[in-house]
Amino acid sequence: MKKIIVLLFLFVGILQVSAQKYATKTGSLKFEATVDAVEEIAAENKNTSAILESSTGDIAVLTLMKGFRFKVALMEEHFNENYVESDKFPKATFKGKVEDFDASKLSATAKAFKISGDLTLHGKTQKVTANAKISKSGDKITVTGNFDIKAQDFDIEIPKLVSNKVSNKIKVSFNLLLAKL
Amino acid sequence: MTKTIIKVLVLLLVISLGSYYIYKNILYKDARDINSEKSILTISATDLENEYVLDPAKGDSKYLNKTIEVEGIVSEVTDSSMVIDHKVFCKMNKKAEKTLMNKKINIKGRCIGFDDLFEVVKFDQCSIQQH
Repeated sequence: MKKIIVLLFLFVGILQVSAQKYATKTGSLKFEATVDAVEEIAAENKNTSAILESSTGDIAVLTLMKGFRFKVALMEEHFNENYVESDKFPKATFKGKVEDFDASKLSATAKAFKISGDLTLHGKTQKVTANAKISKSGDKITVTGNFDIKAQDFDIEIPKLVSNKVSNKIKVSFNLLLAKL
Repeated sequence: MTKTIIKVLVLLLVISLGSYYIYKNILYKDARDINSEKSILTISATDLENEYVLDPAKGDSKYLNKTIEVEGIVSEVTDSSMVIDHKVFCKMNKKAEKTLMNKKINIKGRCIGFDDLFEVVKFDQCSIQQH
């Protein structure tokens, strides 16, 4: 009986060692929906949260829609009110996995990975795959990368009148500097 | 003759001023300046987070995008942000001073929503009111 208890404790100990989280509350998430170079339609959110579980490669990202800042105030207003309806859908989340992730093989030189998972935005969930580069120095893991989404996949309608200004294809890029929790 | 000239001049003036107004105040109006806005209420960080945990939708309808003052003890400081009572995350306009750690503080900012991952309410464009 005692042996079992000791074993149990050991097991729990191992689990805790291997469950190592890296996180940030101030990740950067940018998107761009510019058509040609007429007028840049782009915004950045510097308050994006992310947690990476380094033992499994599971990654969760959450960004608050109101936190996206545009250069033009009217664009920000339209983004919030007409496109993503941030009063109704205040956040976007991503839950996924870094494919073939092995934390022990990370180094200061960035390595290419694929991250795939579910992106929830504007009340819709779609599968996305991002090309990412991951590096590690000390207690910090840096995850950068990008992916493309289509506005229509998330029920975001771009009125015909502005379809030559606002692209349906949206380029999203991220830069997450994760610190050991 | 002079009457029509005056009419034309007035019309031109109205058209040019009108388009200037639209350009300046609608197309390229200034972004909100949270620092100069009056806060709608002052609340403790713990109370605010509690309300969000109990009912996120209600919290959003009451506080989202509003200018609010939060009070509490600073529990975390990084270069660009502070966390109050482990409950409210504030993205600061200016660089945050490390010496404010564990001090009582009042911060004004814009509520941008609730972060489920860390269970914190997030604010941006924050400025320190008093400490």
